[in-house]
Amino acid sequence: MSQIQPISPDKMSKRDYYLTRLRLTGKNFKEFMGKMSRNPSGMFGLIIFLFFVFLAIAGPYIVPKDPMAISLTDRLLPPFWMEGGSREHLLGTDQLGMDLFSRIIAGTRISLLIGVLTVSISIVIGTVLGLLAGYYRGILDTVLARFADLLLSFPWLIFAIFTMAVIGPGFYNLVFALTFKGWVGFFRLVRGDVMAEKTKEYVDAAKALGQSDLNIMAREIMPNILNSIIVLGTLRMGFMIIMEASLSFLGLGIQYPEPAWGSIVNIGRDHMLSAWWISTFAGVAILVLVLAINMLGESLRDILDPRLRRIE
Amino acid sequence: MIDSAAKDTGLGLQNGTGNSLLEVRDLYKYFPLKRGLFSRVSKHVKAVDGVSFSVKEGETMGLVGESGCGKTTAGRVILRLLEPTGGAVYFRGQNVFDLSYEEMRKIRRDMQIVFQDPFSSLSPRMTVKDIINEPLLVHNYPGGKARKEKIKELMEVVGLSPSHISRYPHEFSGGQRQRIGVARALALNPSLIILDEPVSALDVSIQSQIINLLEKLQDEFALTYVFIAHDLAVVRHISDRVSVMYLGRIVENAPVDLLFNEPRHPYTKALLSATPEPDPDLARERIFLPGDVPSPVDIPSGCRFHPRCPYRIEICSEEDITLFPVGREHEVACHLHVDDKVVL
Repeated sequence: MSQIQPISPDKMSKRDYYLTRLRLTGKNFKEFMGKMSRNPSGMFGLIIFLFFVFLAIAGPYIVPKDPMAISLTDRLLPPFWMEGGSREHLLGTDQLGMDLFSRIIAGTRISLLIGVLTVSISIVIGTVLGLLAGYYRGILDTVLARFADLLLSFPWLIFAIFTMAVIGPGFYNLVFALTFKGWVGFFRLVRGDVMAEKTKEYVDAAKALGQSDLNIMAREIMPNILNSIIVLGTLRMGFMIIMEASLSFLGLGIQYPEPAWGSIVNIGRDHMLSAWWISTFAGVAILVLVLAINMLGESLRDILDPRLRRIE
Repeated sequence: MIDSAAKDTGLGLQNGTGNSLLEVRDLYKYFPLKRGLFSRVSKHVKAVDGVSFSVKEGETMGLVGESGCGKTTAGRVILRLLEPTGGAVYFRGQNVFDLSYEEMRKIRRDMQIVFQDPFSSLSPRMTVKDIINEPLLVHNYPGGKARKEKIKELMEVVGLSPSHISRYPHEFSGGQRQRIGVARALALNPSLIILDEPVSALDVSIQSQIINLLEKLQDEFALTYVFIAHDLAVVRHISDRVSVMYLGRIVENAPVDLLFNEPRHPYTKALLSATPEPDPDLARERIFLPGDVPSPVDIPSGCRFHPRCPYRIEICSEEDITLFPVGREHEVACHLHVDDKVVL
């Protein structure tokens, strides 16, 4: 029979610790939302962004038509307000008769997923390497920093096109290609911040108390550089969505007939004069989402970390 | 190169200096100067260049000198916040430079530090509770209620209101922040605290409050202090003994009254003559030192003070000199006083 374990004092304190943390986070969140609500463009961006997030999650359940259902009798129908359009297809159809409205909603998921995935992976890799390089310096730092410089010397699009051409199209390949260069930005940001924070006396104080290096990085330095990571992450997400759209447009990303905004724009290119709506609405979707994310990111920057303004 | 000398003096410790809590022997800290990407290290900043002193249990030793003389570096090397280039630091007879990482962690609860800048020494993302909790957490102090009580108790001891436990450092004034720093250092009941210019970033009125607090705590918890400062009035007030540092080395070391009343080294005299005197009519000798402190990269030959010394003689530029006793507990490193050398 196993004995009933008494709650150890350390567990208690951990619970206690996290409860305080949570309460403080709540307090900070309120403060943050207060500042946010006084920032109209940030609020606007946030609302639009959350709307797209909702579309991405609920997409499959709310689309009026199957986004990949082909109906050759309904080819190239115009939006409902134009002559020949119907309420069946709110934004018209493409050259295979697929419902554009449903396809754009379904495309939200791919765009956001790519954005979130590439940025998250980049943050994890960049932050871990940046912490190690900035904290320990030495040969590790030299190697990583030179490698980062090497990656930085390639233009984004060319690098992504090259990678995709080598490894072939597809969702995961796309994530890989974008992350492969994406971590560098976070690495450089974190490395620089860590080098700056490390000279502050609170790090020495932690060392004098006997904190381990790992704890100093995770508990002392991390909270002080988190804001810049969040800000860069948001701004970078809009950029990643554009990259995905660009690659899909070039036929290197998500392949037609999968509903990705970039590939919809590409398909619409052939029918630009006769069926302008295909490219236009997908393009508008990209524009609105990226604009919203950038507005959100910029107000986050102003609220959380104004000094990042210099870096742009 | 320097290690062998350190080992020699290590032996000396066992047959004599008994009641010293902290014994620093021939401490060296050189920072390599690198030029360019691939070039070799050609020169060193000799921040601490052979410093020796000892501090008795319950005593306050003042370490004074101009900025850049290496006093802060010395403090940090003693705590191994910086790794030493050479020398030895005996804490309760144990050389802390020989300790493994784990052993060092354990001994850290006995030797703590309070920093100069009360703004950068507290993490801005932690509440007072978190900050004082850190040492307790690291050294597995019992958790839960007991720990919270301990934190509140510490806050009271240093004169902070326990009701401010959930505040962030930026919500406090400089003096209060320094109190938080003191509470953090005190949390583990250390026996030695290195005070690295603890008051020089504060207003004069606040300075005296913190000094009084430090003295109160010393009585209450039987603390031993190494008080690093450049303000002589403060040092005179709090210290039992004072060591004067110049360019990485101690040039004079004496009990506080002796040092202030009968300074031997010209540098000490110059420092003392530069302190403001409350009585404007008092006639006194002013010594003005020409030039600046030389770079710790190219330390002058002979006595390192000779280029600025108003009393220099021929031998000063030729022969280096180290501390020697000129009286009971009074040591000086100056060619002018070689004749006063006593054998104890």
